[in-house]
Amino acid sequence: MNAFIQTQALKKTYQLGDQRVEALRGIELTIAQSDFVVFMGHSGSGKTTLISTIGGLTRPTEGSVSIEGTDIWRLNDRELSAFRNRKIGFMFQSFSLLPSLNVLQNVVMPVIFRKNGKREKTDAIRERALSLLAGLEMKKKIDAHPSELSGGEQRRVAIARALINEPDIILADEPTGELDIRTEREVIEIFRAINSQYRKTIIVVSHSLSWLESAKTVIIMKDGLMHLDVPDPVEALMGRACRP
Amino acid sequence: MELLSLAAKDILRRKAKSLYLLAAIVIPVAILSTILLTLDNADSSLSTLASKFGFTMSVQPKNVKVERIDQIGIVIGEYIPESIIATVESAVRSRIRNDREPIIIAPRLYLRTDIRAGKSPVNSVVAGVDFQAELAAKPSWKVTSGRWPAGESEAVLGGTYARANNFSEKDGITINGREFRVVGVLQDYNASEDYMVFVPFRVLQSLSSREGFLSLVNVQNVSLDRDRNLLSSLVADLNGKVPNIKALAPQQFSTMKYMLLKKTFKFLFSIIAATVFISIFAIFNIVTSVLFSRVREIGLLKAVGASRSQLLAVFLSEYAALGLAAGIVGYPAGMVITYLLDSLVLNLGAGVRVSPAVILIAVASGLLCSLTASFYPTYQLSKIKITDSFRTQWEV
Repeated sequence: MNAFIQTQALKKTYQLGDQRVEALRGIELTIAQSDFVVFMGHSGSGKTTLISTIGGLTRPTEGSVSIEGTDIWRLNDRELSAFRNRKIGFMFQSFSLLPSLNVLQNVVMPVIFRKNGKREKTDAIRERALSLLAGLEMKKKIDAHPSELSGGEQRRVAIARALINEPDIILADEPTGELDIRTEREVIEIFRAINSQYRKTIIVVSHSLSWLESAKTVIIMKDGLMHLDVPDPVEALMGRACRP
Repeated sequence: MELLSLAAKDILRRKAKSLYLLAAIVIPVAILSTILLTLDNADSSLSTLASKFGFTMSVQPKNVKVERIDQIGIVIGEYIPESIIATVESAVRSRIRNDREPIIIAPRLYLRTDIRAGKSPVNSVVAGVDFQAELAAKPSWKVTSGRWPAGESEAVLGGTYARANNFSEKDGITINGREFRVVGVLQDYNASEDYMVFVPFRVLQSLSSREGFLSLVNVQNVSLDRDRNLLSSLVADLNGKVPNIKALAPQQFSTMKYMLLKKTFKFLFSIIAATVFISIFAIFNIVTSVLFSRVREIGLLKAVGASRSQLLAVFLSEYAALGLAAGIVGYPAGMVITYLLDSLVLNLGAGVRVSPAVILIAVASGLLCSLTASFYPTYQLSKIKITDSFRTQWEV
């Protein structure tokens, strides 16, 4: 497998008072380009910590994260910010949108932090944002503010924003959390389309079993360790044994 | 959309908090503007009064109290011998380098008496003056109607005095039994002279039986006007050596008053400095609380690629805009306070003028207050870990 994203001996330890919590315990992971990876696991299993570390949001205690050959944790703040801005689109469970901006402004927001953002014509950025919003059936609501949108609509806007800088990787932490089943289905379909049409590498963290049939790779996280090729993820999540 | 428009949208979204913060910055800016504008007005007011007086120096009886600059040049009921003229002229001449330079000596004699003009008597202040010397020293002294006296039985009236008593040129008035013809009415100068009657100096001496005496001597000399040290030494010399007189220089007096005012304001400045410090502390607390409530927003901006310097640019430009607005609002607020302070307490009477220097200081202090107070919390929060920002709303 071509190593598009690779982690080596990745460890993350949190100090909570007197207690040391090992959130990641030497993760060795390789993800190919255009893969659709879903991390599943119980709360506290380390899945969010893992994608935060891969996304350049949480610095690991030990080990490395390499994306397209770049060891991202060797970059300084400015370089890492620029790397995130250019290479990774993020989607979070809640508070994904800035309440002061409308839908269109939220979508184009990452562009203002891009180093060459000013060079790209405003019209071109707007056209790309409108095209993304049209594809997500949100074009009619471009002037609405986040408070005027439903949970599903907010997720669509967050997806459009994650795609605006045309990143190679989409990282999503519980993108369907708190959504009803129908809206969850719609969001998963959007992710599947992004993966197949735009060939983006998708990494999702979720509790929801609905993602299982869409993912190309399912990784179960448990006690800071990951479990690949689990024959029955549902069984594994229910607490049955799985192979590390 | 650019970084600055992101800051502008945040200000507009948090209208109440932005206004609260704006008010916190406006207060020290307005107080600072008030102090500076009042000092500026005091300086201007005292200079105007000094220039209105028109003379370099006044020599008058020692026991006449002068507490305000506009009291210089008014002496009633106290007299000094006329020989003081020669003493003063000689003292001035010994100090100036150019022998040919004119020294204008204008003696005055004041008399409070009843003036009759065919109606009931009007208690008035009559000033006996040397019209030629007065006009040489004060070219701005003008009659609005009529002319200057040419004969011994001619008089001019202060503008306010003439209006108040319905006198006009060509009217006849009687002073201590002697008939005078009013030949002119003076322009108003907003000074005590507006309420007086002017007749020739020697005539009033004779009418009041004060031959050989005068109320005061005004002196004007260019060299003394130019050199404050020379003037100070002359005033000190006369006061030290000539008994029963008091030499006063309006410029020196105004400077003294101004310095006194400045000293008072220096004390006030220390209070202002404390106020500014407390304001900065209050602004710091407001900014900190606002920023901590935006921790998740900061995390989100960082996640989508905002570097620490870009975050600082967004937030500091937001606070800089508020500081700028506070400077712009604080200056007119300071003008209003200055006007009220002058009208109700100080009575400097110079009016409130627009001062570009104070506008600049107001805007700069607004910016300084807001940036000083917001830099540290903004800098600290720009360092927050992204994942921590999503976990908590209030703790870093």
